[in-house]
Amino acid sequence: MADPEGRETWETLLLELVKRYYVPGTAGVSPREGAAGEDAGVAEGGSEITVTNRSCGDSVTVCLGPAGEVRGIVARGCAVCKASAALAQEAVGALPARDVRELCRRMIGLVTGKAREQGGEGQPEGCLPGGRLPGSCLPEGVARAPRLQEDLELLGLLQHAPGRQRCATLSWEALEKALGEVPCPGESVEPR
Amino acid sequence: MISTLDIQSIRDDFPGLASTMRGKDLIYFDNGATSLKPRPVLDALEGYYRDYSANIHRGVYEMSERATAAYDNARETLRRFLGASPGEGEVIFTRGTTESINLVAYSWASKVLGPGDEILLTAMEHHSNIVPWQYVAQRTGAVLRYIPMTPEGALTDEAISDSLGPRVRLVAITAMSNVTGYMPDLAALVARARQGGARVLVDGAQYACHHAVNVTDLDCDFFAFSGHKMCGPTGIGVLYARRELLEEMDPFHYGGDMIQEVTLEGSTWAHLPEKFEAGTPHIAGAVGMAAAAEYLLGIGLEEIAAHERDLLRYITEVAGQLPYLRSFGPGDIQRRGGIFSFALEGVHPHDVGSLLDQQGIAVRTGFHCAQPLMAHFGVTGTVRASFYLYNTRQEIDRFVAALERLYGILG
Repeated sequence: MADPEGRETWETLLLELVKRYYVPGTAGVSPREGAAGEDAGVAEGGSEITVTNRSCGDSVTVCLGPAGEVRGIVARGCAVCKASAALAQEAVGALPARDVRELCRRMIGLVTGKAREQGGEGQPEGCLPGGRLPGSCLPEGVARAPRLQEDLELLGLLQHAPGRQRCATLSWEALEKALGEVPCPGESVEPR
Repeated sequence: MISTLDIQSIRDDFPGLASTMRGKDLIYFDNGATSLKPRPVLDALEGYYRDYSANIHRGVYEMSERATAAYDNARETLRRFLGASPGEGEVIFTRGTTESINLVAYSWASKVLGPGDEILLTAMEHHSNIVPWQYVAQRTGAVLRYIPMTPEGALTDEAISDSLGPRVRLVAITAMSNVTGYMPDLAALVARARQGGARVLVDGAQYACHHAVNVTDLDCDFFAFSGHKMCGPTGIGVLYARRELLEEMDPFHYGGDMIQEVTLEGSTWAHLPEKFEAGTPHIAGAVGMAAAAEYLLGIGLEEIAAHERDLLRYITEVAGQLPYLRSFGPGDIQRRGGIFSFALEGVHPHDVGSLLDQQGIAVRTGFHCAQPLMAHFGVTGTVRASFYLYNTRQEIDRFVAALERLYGILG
């Protein structure tokens, strides 16, 4: 899987994602059964948050229920965009909202590599070579889901494909924005 | 015309072609975005920076005089390249096609157009030939109209005639679509527009690098193009405009070098073309762009166009065999430049581009700064392979094989 320099290739990543999440021939939704892509629609009293990649028109919509719960994440875009949305959806199911918000920040920093360069908030310390995300810096719930953790690590390889990073960060941006609209239990909404 | 180019000799002129990408021999099919650079251009750029990188004009020492002469000679070379009249100051250096069009939008259209005047465009324009006119329309009250296209993205004589009403003051149109390579019958369009009293701006960004241009014969009012798509450097381009229009236009930028005299009370403007070139220009860029023009003229633009048409015909035949491939653009090869835009059924263009990248093949994916044309075709993006004088049929064979392989993964 690794190349002679110890760096896993973009193609390897894409093929892994395809294998796990991509449904061939779809027009841009439904990465895989049971994961992101089910267009939950706007529930009564609920809302939607959509983030669009202006360079290609791809979009991710997070559908929220009346209590701010995430009802679905719909990706309209490429294989990376859809796989990332599927991962975000899995994270929502596996983690409490507070941890998901933290994960959003960390995933954006991980994929772009910018957090590490700038030493900014959300940068996991001690990233492994090639941008892999060590389990120790993930929210606790992720560490209990080895497959989810492994796939999140795969997205970190996009540090080597700058032109495709936004394809992956779109879902985390949308989710972060959506979760910012509602308070976690015991906290108030911060102005954005 | 049959291609007679010595392609191997030409390829030897381009050091970039010896590069590898993702460990594979490079196939560069992204010429519509920018071209690779031949040695004469690289030498011209290095020569300026190494041997005489002084500023132009008013320098009373030899190195500055040499730089001034090189800059002036570059303008003269590009005047010949365009077939413009000598001694008229009609060739203005800009940063590229986008700035050339903006110059016309700000300095001419915003000044002369008024409420109810019409600007006629097409939906196949690059955003750089739509957005400035939207601004002009907002500012002046002029109205934007679009010549209807066929489903394939062509313009019929009837559509052009019907669109050229009495209120049309400007037609701004591409000479070659950056998505489909379609080339409208510009000579006929310009003649009709001029007959009706409209001015015509031609976006030559995709055309001038592959085809011979003669603005005098074409009789257009403005012609814009860029250096970097024609083997030259980035950050340099040209606006050709009729002298009488340039005379009546206000300057675009203000500052040094574009003035005749400055007092505390006011200023007067320099003669053409300096009136439109404020500040220190991109001297190396101009010199490099002229070297590129000389290089292309030396090879022969008719021969280059014929070679690229042969490549387009070949890829249309070969890739056309793939049942899951949909290509975009009119079928008449004679009306097309060397651009092949397509989509693979059910596969996102970015995924196609990324997997081609892994095979060492550079293409462009997305909406190509032409969202209205994407909407016309009913897609959000395409994959675009765009050819130049150094590309070959063998590269197309490798390209099509790569498409088959990746469709096996993603399709």
